[in-house]
Amino acid sequence: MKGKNENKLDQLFKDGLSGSEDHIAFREEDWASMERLLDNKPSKKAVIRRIIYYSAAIAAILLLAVGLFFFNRNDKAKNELAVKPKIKTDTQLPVQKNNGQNNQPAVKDSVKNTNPGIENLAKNNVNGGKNEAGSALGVTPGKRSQQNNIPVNQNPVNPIIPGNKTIKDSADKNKTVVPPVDNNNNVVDPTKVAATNTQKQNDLAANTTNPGQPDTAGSKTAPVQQTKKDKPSLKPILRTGPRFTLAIMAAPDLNAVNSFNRNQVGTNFGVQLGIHLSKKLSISTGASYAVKPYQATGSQYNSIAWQGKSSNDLPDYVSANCKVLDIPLNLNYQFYAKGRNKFAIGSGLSSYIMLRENYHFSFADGSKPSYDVQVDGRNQHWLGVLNLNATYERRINSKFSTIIQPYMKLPVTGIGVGRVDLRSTGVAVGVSWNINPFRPK
Amino acid sequence: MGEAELQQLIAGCLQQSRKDQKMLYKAFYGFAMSICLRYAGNRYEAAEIMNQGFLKVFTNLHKYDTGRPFIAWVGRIMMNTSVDYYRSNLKLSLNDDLDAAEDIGHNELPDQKLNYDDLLGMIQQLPNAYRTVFNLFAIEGFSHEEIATQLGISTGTSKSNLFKAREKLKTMVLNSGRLPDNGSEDIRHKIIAIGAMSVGLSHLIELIMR
Repeated sequence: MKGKNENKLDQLFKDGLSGSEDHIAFREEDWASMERLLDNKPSKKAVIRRIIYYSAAIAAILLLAVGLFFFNRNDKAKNELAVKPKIKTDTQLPVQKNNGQNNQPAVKDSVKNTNPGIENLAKNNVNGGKNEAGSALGVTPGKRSQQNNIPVNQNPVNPIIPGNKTIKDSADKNKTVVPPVDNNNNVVDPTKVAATNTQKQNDLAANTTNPGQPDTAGSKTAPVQQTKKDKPSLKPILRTGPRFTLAIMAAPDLNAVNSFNRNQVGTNFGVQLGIHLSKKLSISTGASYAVKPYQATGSQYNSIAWQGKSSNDLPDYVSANCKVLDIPLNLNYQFYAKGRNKFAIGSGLSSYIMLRENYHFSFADGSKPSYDVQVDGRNQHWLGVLNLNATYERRINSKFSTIIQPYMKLPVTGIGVGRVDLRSTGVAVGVSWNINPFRPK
Repeated sequence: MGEAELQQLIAGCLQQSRKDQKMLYKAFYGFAMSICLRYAGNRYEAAEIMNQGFLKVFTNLHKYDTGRPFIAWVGRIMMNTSVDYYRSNLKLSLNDDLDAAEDIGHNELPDQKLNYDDLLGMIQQLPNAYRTVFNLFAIEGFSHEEIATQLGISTGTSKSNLFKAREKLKTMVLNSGRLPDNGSEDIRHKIIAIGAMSVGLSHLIELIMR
């Protein structure tokens, strides 16, 4: 080959690089990993990878299970709504009858039930007109009619009947929140349900005669209704409750030790699962892979191996590159939401699992050669880092939103072999997917 | 290390003696590492390659032909392991004027002494494909045809990669006299870029809020 032997550049490298065996010092850590290879043990890297796979699989299964659970629940809720109109048509006729016979109008409190005779005689003649007055009082019609009806007929109820009644009533009560607009015929369905109910009760009650008991029956049932009545107001909150979002985020971040003066840029990407407990509060967790390069001085680096050595023997500069699996657990509070925009602040703790740490140590005066150290998967800092973040979320459609999240990560414990105070800050950008967007109104 | 001593070690390794394995590993550590460092991008990859190489040495020790020098056999394994390690990204090539490769580095180089660390640093900065071809051609002394067969690339790719490798190395050698002050500059640039991005973002948010 022409020029092969005479090429000066080639010769420079060939001469300079050969015969260098003696320059290279033996390192125990290389033998340690060699022994692992010889023992045919899976390397730590593989173990970590396996852990990641398993945890990802578990997370996926959990996600699926939880998702299905809420999906089914939503279906049930829809079915309940679908039943309502049926009742309405069934009870159309009885309702009108009821208005003649029965009074829905108000008895203001249960104390009045003690004089059922007079009260009800007066009220018996009342229909539509009075009903409006009743609704103006803001008392739920179902309750009223129920309290009233027993005394009206002066009919005591035998112990079994009140029991039935309460069950029926409370079941219906779950839907009765809105007072009726027009009682005469086209009543909002809850009242109709209540009305038919009362009719049945009346019919049942009419058959029995036992003057001693009406009051006790009335007063017994009242408290039960009261407690059950609280339920409907809770239910919608529960239904809107745990929503799930899955976000994919990536961020450039600045890493520095102690202060942000000497910083280096790293990258960071991962997934984040948000569990929305209420409209304002949410928990977020996930996993992200981060590459964190940083520079530190020898004094900021406190390896255990360095203890007891004189400062002259220790390197002056450390430049490091750490690959970290970051598992955050944050609580977020949404303080502003208008239209498509949402703002939230959050805080929590992160666990750093150090996958690989590379260090390069060098001396200021060049008296000693610089050297490198690599550590694989030796350090895990469970909940060792404080997270602070702010999130701006802009909705694209019902399923997707974009997220911009400035954050800061401040370690509570020392990070890595050198137990350094490795701080990171950056702005994560990502897309969030709303897993169950069908919120009941 | 004497020949007899070496044979004893090899015999011990064949009986899976961990102590002898370590002795052999230690004895050839420097030699093996010096090869792997040339082929690898950094110290960590070099150690990984070397260990894979030693694993081949230990598991194939019974195949070793005692009539030949052991060190050459180890060196060959290290080289092959290095090449295998980067095989997946060796295809990188440029279809430039190939003959120009021969002219690079003939006359322009200053007569300066560069130490081992400097030269190693330069060679490690090369892309894997360039570095592998440069190693095989310039240091091991293979021809382009041999390299092409070994790497599974065309001779054209081999020539092209050598050309690019020499070009890059020449620039590095010529610049080696200057102080590298662009490191801090680089960080400053990054900070400015991130700052500008966040200012831009906040403006964007403000705009959206309106």
